[in-house]
Amino acid sequence: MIAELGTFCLGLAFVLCVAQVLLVLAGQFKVCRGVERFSEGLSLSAALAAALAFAALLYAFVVSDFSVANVAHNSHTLKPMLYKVSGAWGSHEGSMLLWCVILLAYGALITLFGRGLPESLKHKVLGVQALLGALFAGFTLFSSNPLARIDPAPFEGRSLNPMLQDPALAFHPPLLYLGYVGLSVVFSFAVAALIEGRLDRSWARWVRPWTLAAWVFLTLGIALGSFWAYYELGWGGWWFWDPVENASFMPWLAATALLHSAIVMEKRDALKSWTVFLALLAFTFSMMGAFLVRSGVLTSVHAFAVDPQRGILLLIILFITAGAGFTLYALRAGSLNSGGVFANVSRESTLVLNNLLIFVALTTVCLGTLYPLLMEAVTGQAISVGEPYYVLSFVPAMGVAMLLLPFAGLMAWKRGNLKVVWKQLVGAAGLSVLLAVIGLALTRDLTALKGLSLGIGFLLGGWVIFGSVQMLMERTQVFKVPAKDAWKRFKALPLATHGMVLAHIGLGVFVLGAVVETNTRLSAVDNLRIGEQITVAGYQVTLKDVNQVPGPNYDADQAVITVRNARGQVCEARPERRFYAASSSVTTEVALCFRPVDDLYFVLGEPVMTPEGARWQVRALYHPLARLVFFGPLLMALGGTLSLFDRRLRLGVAAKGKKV
Amino acid sequence: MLLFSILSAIVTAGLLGAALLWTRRQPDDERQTAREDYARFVAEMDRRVANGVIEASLAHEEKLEAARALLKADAAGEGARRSVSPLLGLIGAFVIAGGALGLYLVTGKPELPDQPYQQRLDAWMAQAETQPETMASKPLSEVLKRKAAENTEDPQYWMFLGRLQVMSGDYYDGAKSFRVAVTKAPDNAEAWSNMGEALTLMNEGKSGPDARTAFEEALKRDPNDLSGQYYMGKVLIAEGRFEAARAMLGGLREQLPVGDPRRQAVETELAALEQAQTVDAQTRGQIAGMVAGLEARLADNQENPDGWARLLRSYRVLGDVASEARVLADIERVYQKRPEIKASIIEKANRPVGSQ
Repeated sequence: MIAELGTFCLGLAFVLCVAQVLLVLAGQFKVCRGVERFSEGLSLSAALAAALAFAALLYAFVVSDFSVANVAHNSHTLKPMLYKVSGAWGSHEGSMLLWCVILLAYGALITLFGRGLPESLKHKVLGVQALLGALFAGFTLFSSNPLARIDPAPFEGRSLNPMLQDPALAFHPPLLYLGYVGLSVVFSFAVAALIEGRLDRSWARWVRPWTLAAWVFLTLGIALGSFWAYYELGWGGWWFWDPVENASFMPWLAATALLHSAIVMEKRDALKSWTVFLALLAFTFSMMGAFLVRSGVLTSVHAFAVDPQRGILLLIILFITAGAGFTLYALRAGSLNSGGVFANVSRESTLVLNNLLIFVALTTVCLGTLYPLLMEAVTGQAISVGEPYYVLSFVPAMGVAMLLLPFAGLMAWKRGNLKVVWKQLVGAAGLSVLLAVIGLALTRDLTALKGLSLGIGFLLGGWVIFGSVQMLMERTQVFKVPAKDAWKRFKALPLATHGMVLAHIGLGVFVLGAVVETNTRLSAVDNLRIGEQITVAGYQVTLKDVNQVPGPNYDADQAVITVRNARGQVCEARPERRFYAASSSVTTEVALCFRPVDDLYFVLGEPVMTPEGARWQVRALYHPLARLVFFGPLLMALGGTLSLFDRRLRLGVAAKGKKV
Repeated sequence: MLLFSILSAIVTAGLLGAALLWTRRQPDDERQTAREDYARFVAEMDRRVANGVIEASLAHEEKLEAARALLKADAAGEGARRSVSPLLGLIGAFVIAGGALGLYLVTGKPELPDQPYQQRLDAWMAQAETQPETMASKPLSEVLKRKAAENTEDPQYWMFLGRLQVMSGDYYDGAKSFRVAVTKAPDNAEAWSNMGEALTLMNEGKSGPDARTAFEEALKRDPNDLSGQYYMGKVLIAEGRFEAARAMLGGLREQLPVGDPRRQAVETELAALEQAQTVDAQTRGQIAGMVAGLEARLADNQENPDGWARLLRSYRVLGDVASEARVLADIERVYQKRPEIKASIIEKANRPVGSQ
């Protein structure tokens, strides 16, 4: 009955969305004036209905109700509770329901927090959001119902893919969807503003917090996914330019560009057309990601294996929504006059340049992702676009954008002075050069290409970090005014400024980690008998023992590996090879030895039987500064969150607050 | 069904009621809100100017911009909110509820109750008490598993559980149960061969080292164990020991009475044996040719340590002890004055294929 109640609620959510759209249309076309007001209450009801449907699905997973097909295909009685719960969004059907819940919840949030918005705009935003809700809820209900039943129910479930039974991956999809779907609000705002013909500074102020929230969630989701890939897949890599990874990266890049252009629009009433374009583009990329992952056009560890028919339905949704949005944009873009005028050298111009460079980077990623698919569709030939393409196209564009970054932070609005800013940044430039020299001096056995790459990475990472710190120093006048005054200024700075500095430092930290890890990682692999050892980066790695360890729903061979260096034992690692009987599959569980910022990474491979006994394949990898690769995005997300709590942005979202 | 109808009606009424209540609440005065926003913004600007975070001229400009926005909002807010008839809301609510119900009748299965696993297990336990013969193997094995604590020392319990698990397709769990059975009753040949069979089925029909050991143990205890003989025969074919396999399977065929359906399976394996033997002879011929070619190339060019290692390993794999000894003597001769290369060749040849 609870599963059936869930299906009923999903249907109710769909009908409520359709009703919202119809009411807004009736109000807009003056069929029945004033009825659009109902859309506010209905947005709350639709979100609650979808949440109830999802609660029913969660219940079915928790109690292992195998009469629900989705539970039967993705769960098992022996699965630990965390993975029973996360199994609810581990499949295509369940994750589509989660997508709908989040989409409709954002609609409800617009109602709850949008009291300061003009009524007419708010109703149009709710109407567009409801249209998106109706399309996705309809798709979920009619083609991918996660609460569809099986009769008779199987005796046992088929279990979830063991690789997805991981704490990081339990939280990765919800975070990612909060980001993907968060961009739907921005899309709705853009379409509503285009219909309304009202696009001004306040629009940018309303849009920024939603963009920022989505960006923070996307940053966390992508970072968590990357961390999962790093330690779960057993390859030791954290980014593979896999099309599915790119599918999440493209909306992130678009949202990053949007965040910056919205600042210009809010401050200077400029870049209106461009900002709206990015708002439409960001959610279009989110939907494209959903299509790529679920249509079956990609073969990836991340992709849901779904039949192409459902992919076509998603493509139709993509064409309807993005097509309508961009058609409206094409019709109205000409009438969007830019207000603010600025000189060639100004903060606006640096932000415009930054936007263009991010857009170039976004285009290269988009081409690299879609080109092989198009080629395969047209010629039937399977080709792949790998890291070298992105190193030659994406990296230079982003590199130049990072060079500009400290200038943008210090440049004055309207008309800036390059000489003054350069003087302020000379110290930062010197420190980055010093960092590069020291970094290169400390690194041995580098090829010329790797040395060049590492040097540029040190320079850029250092430049962004020191440049951001310099900006903070300029704002607080530290060393120029008494320390007490500087502290007062520091405290008086808006949270958005602290957030921006932190996010930019996070980017620099990430760049440092990424280039060092990529260019200087070391690995050793050998088939070891118990007691034998291999050496990696000066660490002696000894296979002490291999034990059989039972898990809740698996049996594991667990290696005991001791790691020593010249000063003694560093750590004991216990990588595993797990056998999951329910799916008859074997996975490797990496063991990490956490050094302060470096990682020692161990993988236990297959045993090889020899007359003298079993030899175990042991891979030992040394990843210098790997921790920074994940710590950088965390700082970025933290910076975004700080900005989100800035008074000025909150004023843009909610009218509620203390009177000043 | 009745409960479902009541609950769905409550949910619908609750959600639509909440929507109507939200709509009926006092709407915000847009102009008042805009004025409050403006006042807050101006105060924020003043605060930032006082703290020296922003220049006074820029703040002035910002405040002017905000004032313009306020005037615009004032003008836009002239049109008063229109009230909507409550009857319209009520009709709308009924249409929505009707629509949702209609949709559910198309997409739902109202006749199907929830089936939480614990509830099903309880039902199986009850059925096992009264009519176990009517139960499928999977539920029966699940019921039996719940009684493990009472039967930990009983090998027959583990044998029975293992068989049920294998019948349900849970080969891994079946093998685990048989493993317990053989620890409780190590002399039970059937338990050993059942374990080997479960391991073989788990490995998609291929008997790995564990399964082979289990069949050996079974035949040690009972040379006439049918299952043990059958699978051991297959193992011997896979190992290329055709004569031993022929003897094993032939003996098994003699044991089975004419008309026994299992005879057919044994006949099939014997036929497969003949075919495998022919293919093996051809393959060995090809390999011998390749190895002879390698040896000839090494005779022409002796400075090829990798080649010597490959040759030595090839003869080991082929089990040709005489040729292996001859190659070792050749390596000794060629690298007499370079013992480190000789050691490296022997070390490479000793390593399992694929190791690095």
